[in-house]
Amino acid sequence: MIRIEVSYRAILFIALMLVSLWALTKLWPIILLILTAFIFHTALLPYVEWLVRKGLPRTLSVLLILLAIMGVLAGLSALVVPAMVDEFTNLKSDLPEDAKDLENLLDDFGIHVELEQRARDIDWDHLISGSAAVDYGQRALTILLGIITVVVLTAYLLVDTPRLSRFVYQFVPPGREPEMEHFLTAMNRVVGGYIRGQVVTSACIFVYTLIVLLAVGVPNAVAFAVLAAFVDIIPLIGATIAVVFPTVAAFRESPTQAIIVLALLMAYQQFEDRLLTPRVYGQTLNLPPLVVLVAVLVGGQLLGIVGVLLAMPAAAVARVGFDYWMERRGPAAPPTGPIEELLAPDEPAMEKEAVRGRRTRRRKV
Amino acid sequence: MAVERGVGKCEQNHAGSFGYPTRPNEPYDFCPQCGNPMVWHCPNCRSPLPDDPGELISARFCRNCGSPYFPHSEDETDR
Repeated sequence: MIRIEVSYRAILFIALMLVSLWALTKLWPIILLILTAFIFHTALLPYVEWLVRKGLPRTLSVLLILLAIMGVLAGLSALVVPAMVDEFTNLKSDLPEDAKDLENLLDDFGIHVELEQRARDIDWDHLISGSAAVDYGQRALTILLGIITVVVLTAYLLVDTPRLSRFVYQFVPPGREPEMEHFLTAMNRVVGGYIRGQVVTSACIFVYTLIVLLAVGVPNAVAFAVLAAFVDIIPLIGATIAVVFPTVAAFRESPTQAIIVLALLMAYQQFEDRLLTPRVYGQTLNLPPLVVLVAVLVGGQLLGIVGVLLAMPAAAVARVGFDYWMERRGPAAPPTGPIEELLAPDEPAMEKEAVRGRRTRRRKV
Repeated sequence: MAVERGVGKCEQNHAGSFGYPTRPNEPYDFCPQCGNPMVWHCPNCRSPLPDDPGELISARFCRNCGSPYFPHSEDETDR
């Protein structure tokens, strides 16, 4: 009969782990907000430190930077939201006709789908007003509260960075501080670099898409440019979305316009992939495509769109952790097995003896 | 101006540091654990001690000039 003995400490450890997991699942939305705040903290910290070095008080520096960011976002919203509302109104009226065009196109390829009728069947009043509006309002309120929480948490983290640093360093044994410093610097470089780089690439794709669509005369140009800036954050599929939707919209105008839009947007994707991204990010991320793919799939499965957005910084942090662990492991230990294993199988036995003799002599010395 | 930071050790291989959060701002003279003198740089060329924890503990001689960090290390090489 097998007898299993479990110590009280093991039982306590398992119980503690289970309680931690339960707490983690219950508190996950809050943990997510804190993680997001830490990511923004890392991205904004260099600018706060720069202002502090210039002689500004830390709190004022944090306020200035957050106000500047909110000002830029408010300006962009003022520019984009009215245009998007107009474009949504156009979309609502044009949808049955566009669906009919697409249906005819698909018919030419032998695909028969009832798109026009479906477009006419959409109950816009139900979607826009009544209970749906309450639902959208609740969702918008939740998102707004989340954004406010992240902004406040980021501000606190930025103001309290020196105290936070002291808190972390008190757990570091004497003499190991440089190691911790290297690790934190690497984390800051990777996460902060990713966020700052993403802002640059999103801004570039927004401006480029807007110019191209306005020049070609594609309707809803602002909305598609905003869409391109947002989907640029999504790894792997973001580039495709940024190209496909404006091309389909251009196709409604004329096939020539669609070809021009497709060619120009694809040319930009090549420019971004081959020139812009390597220059902006440098070696910040340096993740193999397979790792990116797995990270995006795992992030999407666990947290949906938020997981997809957090996949890249999370994978980059995991890489820093892995590099740190590999460095701490040090170089691989020299083989200590029998000498025969070190030599090729066809090596003469005499030579093996000679090697063994040399080793013994070295040991004696 | 950046705060000066560094690591050091005593003859008993007790590591120490200064300039980091929660640590003294200046290098201190004696080890708080055993009371032996602390070494923060090479006595000959003033190069700092290695900041890798493993190297810091194992280093007995300066990587830059080869001088021993402690007088006893010199005696050991003479033997």
